[in-house]
Amino acid sequence: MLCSFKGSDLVESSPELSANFRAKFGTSEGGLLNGKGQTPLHVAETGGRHAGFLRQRLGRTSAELLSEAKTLRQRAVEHQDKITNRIGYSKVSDDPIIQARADGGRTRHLQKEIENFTQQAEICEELVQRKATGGP
Amino acid sequence: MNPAISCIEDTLRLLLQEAKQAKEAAAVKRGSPEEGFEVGRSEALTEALHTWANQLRSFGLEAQLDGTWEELREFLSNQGY
Repeated sequence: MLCSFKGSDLVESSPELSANFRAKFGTSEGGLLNGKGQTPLHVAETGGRHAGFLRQRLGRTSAELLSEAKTLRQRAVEHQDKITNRIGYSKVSDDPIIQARADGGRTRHLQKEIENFTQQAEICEELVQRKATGGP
Repeated sequence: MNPAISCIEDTLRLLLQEAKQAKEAAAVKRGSPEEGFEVGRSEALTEALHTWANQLRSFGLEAQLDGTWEELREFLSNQGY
């Protein structure tokens, strides 16, 4: 099992946030896997995406990591809210084609940021799980 | 300030200046054949700065950027980020 950490462990003080996040982004029970079946932590450990983020967190306590994961998931929810409620989708052109391109680009960009926050949260959570099972 | 932070701060300043100019250029070209390109360029620069801002926060570096961070936040806030 790659990551059995449950989102509910993260957000005990905010069940609404937890439910909201899971409804939008799925649970983290199976972890966010890339095309090669690797978790974000595995990718970072092999020098790939988020390697610097991981290096900065190796010495942190479980409590610190859980707190950070919660913050990162909250930031993902805030960004999703911008897409859902069309926040910041301002008029940039009178041309509907240009406007549609700009709006689509904004949505794709926000989705990438959400993915980024979620992967970083997963890294924190998997590190906590490792610590709980006697890992480094 | 360590050299990496100085480099980031200077780069952010340059990108901010370019993004602001791009917004102005997009407004000037409104209704012209170049409008699509200018709007796209402006949006891309803003998105890049938004990614920078998010990452700087994730790495806890924003406090070390002083005025540049405030300027960046103000710009992004005006763009709905």
